[in-house]
Amino acid sequence: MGWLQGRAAGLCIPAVVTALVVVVAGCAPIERGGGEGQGGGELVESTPIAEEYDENAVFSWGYTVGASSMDPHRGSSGFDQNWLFPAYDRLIYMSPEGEPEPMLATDWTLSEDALAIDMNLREGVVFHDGTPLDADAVKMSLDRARTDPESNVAPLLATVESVEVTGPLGIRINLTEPNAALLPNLGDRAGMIISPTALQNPDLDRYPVGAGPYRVADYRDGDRVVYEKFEGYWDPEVQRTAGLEYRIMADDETRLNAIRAGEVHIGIVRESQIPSALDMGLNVLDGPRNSYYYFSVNAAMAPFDNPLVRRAVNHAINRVEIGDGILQGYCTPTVQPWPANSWAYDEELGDAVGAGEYGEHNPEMARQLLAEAGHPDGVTFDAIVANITGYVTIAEAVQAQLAEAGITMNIRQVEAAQANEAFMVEKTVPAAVLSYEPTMDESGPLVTHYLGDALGNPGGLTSPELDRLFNEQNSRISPEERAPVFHGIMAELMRLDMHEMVLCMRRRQEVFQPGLQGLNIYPTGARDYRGVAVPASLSGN
Amino acid sequence: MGLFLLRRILGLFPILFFAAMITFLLVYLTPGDPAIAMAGEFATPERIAEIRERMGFNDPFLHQFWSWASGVLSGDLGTSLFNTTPVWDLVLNRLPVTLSLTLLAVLLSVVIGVPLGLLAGVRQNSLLDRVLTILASLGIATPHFWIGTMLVLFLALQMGLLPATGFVPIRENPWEWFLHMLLPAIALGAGTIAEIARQTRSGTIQVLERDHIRTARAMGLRPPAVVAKHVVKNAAIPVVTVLGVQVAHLLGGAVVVEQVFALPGLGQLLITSVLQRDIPVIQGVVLLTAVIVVLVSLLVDLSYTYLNPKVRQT
Repeated sequence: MGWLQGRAAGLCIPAVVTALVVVVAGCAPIERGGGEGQGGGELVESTPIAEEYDENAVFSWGYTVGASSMDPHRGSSGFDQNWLFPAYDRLIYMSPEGEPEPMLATDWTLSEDALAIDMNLREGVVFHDGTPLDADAVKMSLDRARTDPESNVAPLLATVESVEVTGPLGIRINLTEPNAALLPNLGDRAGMIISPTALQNPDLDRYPVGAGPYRVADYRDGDRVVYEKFEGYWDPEVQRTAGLEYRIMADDETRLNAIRAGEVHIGIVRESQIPSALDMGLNVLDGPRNSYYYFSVNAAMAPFDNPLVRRAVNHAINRVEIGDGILQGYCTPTVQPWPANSWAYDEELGDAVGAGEYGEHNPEMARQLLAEAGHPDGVTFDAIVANITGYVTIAEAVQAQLAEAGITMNIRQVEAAQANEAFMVEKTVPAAVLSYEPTMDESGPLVTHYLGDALGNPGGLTSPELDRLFNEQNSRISPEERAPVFHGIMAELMRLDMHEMVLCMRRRQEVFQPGLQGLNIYPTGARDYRGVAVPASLSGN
Repeated sequence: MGLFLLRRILGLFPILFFAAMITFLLVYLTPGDPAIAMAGEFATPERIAEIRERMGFNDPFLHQFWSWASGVLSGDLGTSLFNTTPVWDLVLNRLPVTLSLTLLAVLLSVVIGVPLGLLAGVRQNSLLDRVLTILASLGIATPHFWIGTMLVLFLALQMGLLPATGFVPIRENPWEWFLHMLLPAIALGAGTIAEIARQTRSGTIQVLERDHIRTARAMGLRPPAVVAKHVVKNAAIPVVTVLGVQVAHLLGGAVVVEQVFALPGLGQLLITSVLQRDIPVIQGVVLLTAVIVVLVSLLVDLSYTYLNPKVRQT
């Protein structure tokens, strides 16, 4: 027995020692810091340009996905624009304030019947391959964008009947019908002008040839895109760095680690990572953007073909709990599909989540509405949600909230692409928890989600008044003229007990190393680092 | 020997055919329409239908499979659905990253695992043996991503000794390549190090109990010489087998490790392709992985002929 006891003791001792080591290591505080000690990080909406920065620095950015293609017309992803902005100037520049400003087009006028836009082009602009920009080059690029069989931006130019050359630096865009969204859309991929001599380049999907401040020097598939300054750019003031390095980092923690380690200067984060990022001494670029989480139903499928049921669900949802609670205040509870700083936002209506308002959380009212609709015992339905942590958390919150009103929601988790397909295309589920990603124009939510033929409106819920109002705003070009019409559209959507219930307005959040200059928030969600500057302390030079 | 080799090589073809068939079937049956992804954010039903027709997604299953398989037989893996890049090019661009990660993990497994296993086996039941056994169990049980995250936290972020993310091609800077690959290789190879150590320990203990070892000791051969001359080679056969099996495990683990360290390897390509429903790329990556696993298995079989002369004679 003695030898057995000896063996047992021999086994126990290392086991106990190992367990103690694990426990002590797990309990020991882990010192965090971006080299500056604990805490001290700030939330900011922009960073100014200081007098001193390193002109030889290379600015680096980490993002979740690479471009589906560096060809602005043939790419299939809305995130491509971020990779294309450095290399491709657009006809229009959408400013951080959401205003169209001159870029390759210096000025424009709309005809009285709103069926033609005359544009004057900037003189002295040269593409990366040395080809001068003129009206013929712009026409060729726009014609490709709207007529190329593989163009994925053609729908944005669907109302363009033709593009005429009116002079060496003049074009006229003729429309089949008024389209107020055309100018903002010309500030995105549809308006990115490709050099006419490069349109047939076999590697255009990797090596763009535009007229932007930087050109692609090295394209490393799945890894990074390296840009170098383009000498000869028409606005050298915005070229404050020698180059750019945009890196692909799919994992959220990996991106944050890279910023902490100084391997990239800035990158997007999830809401849940912000407190720890601030605690590490990193700053967070934080501002509103036109993106929101929503709960949507198919208004042609039972039980949601009854407006009372839609209204009941709307009142059963607690937007404040989701935005201020679960998402820790980083998502603003609202019923409007535009952020508060958008010209389309109805300030008089506000967020409308208070007592007596359209988005009021009132489970008792929801029960009464269900009873009126002929469902005194509640309703049961399936809802699809992308199997991404944040979305699932929100869906589970909605599920619990609806249960208080006697509504049973069964959650089906699927891959993100499949969620959109099942709800919008195949129409096999009556409800979904998804998010809207912004387009360049405020009419984006209407065109893609609220109009009768929108992909995001699988039940086709609409009204003649909604169509009339949409056409009316389309015939106006300035935000000031369009805003009151948008307020009318919002009122009509509420009258219809809209199928898509906005839960909260997301914010654009990116973690960056303190000292980075020239950062701005674009309400469209675009990540355009035009004019960014890197101080010597961050450049590594 | 030549006949043995020929038989093994011929046996690869039916294996690869079934791997290709199963891969194609799995992707075909997976929900999701690549035409919707290809049509982009402004997709219309007409555009989606046009893409489906143009890409042959409406064709019968066997027609689609034959179109792809006949291309593979002639060396053409097709083109990515989302850009004009041939799948071969995409795969070959990423292969060096995954191969270097996997090979470095294998190298670490052998360099660390075998000596530890020999030590534990020679000093069976000692304190050292017990500690190494516990560590081996921990290494096998701990997920790659957790090890990777801990390594980044302590060695890269806290101590600043090694980079946290990224890849540098070896031809650009061999030293930077090694520094960037070390943490990922350790994270990936930790489980394999543990397996190799355990297998080496078991093999060593078994060999040490054999008569010829007792004879060698009795004839005055020193212990290090006994181990080097008689133990290592005999204990190596099961270790080589385990190593061959672990290569498949490492290739799978590389998918996770590449995400943690932002390495542009085959794993990352596979994840992106699955999310996009880029079918030709998915099929190309899976098929290539199957080829690698099968070739490694062949190499393992061939190594037996060196380690065990009896195999050569059969």
